[in-house]
Amino acid sequence: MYNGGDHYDGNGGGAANANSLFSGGGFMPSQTTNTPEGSGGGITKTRGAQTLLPLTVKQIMDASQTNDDKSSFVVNGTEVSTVRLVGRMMNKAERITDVRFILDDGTGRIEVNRWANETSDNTEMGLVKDGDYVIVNGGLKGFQGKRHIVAYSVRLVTNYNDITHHFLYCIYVHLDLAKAKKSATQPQVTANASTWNQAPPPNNQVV
Amino acid sequence: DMDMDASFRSAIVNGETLKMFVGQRVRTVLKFQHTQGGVLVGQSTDGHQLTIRGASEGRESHYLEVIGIADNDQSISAETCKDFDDNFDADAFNGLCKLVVNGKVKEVLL
Repeated sequence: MYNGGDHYDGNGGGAANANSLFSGGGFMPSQTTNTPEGSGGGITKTRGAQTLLPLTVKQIMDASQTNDDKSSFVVNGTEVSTVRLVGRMMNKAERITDVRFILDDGTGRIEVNRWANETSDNTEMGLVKDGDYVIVNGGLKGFQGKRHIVAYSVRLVTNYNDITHHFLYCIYVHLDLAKAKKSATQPQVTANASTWNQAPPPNNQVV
Repeated sequence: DMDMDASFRSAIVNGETLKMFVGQRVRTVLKFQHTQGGVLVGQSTDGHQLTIRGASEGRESHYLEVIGIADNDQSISAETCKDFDDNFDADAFNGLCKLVVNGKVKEVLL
């Protein structure tokens, strides 16, 4: 659902209203969402409901673990499986079967592992290097108390507005999930993502 | 342990919020204006003039991301710099800076 982070549509050099970033569809935690392809272009529906959450490393480190098997994480009352992070690549290490690096997004650092099964995997990882800003989509995993990402997509940031956009989305999701969590305990209050959107709805809104 | 080490975190700031993080690592994007006496002078996204010491790069009419330690409310000692091209949305970044220090959401980034 949060595939809006792929392409930032702000005007080049223009004064895009930050509120306009939140216009349009809202995120409803109960909805099934699509998991974007690695290229960021086509969107395919994967088996089972997966919610791609834009998060900061800090949010991941602060996440609690589910009680059952300790391998799942919870952020703002929502179980987290697939995440999107944006940050700088560090300590890239290429091995035969995988590529590892540290992602530093300014709020923390986390280890990322990208398995290189296909030629396209190697090609993708060959396009990014230490110091580059990258967009990472992958699964959040925990092992022996340490959290890391198993990435299925690592893309170079070419439009630096994507970085701003990502963090704004993280904040938006945080507020939206917190509101949904609160409304779950207060049935008379309906979680409405559009209340977070300050901009008025467009006149030509299509239902 | 990397998980617990917060020493490398940086707060996203603009000209106004920089003063809240003096002595700490900060991250900002500013528009390159000129260099003088070995320092780089740029304009923050909220119109403040900031001085960057030890800047490694800076291009005319380009934006520059600077990560470093805030010396005072107007100056940063740069650790890393990165060219952020000329089509950066200053307003969106500025909005983000204001949200970062908002009590309701600061736990996301700080």
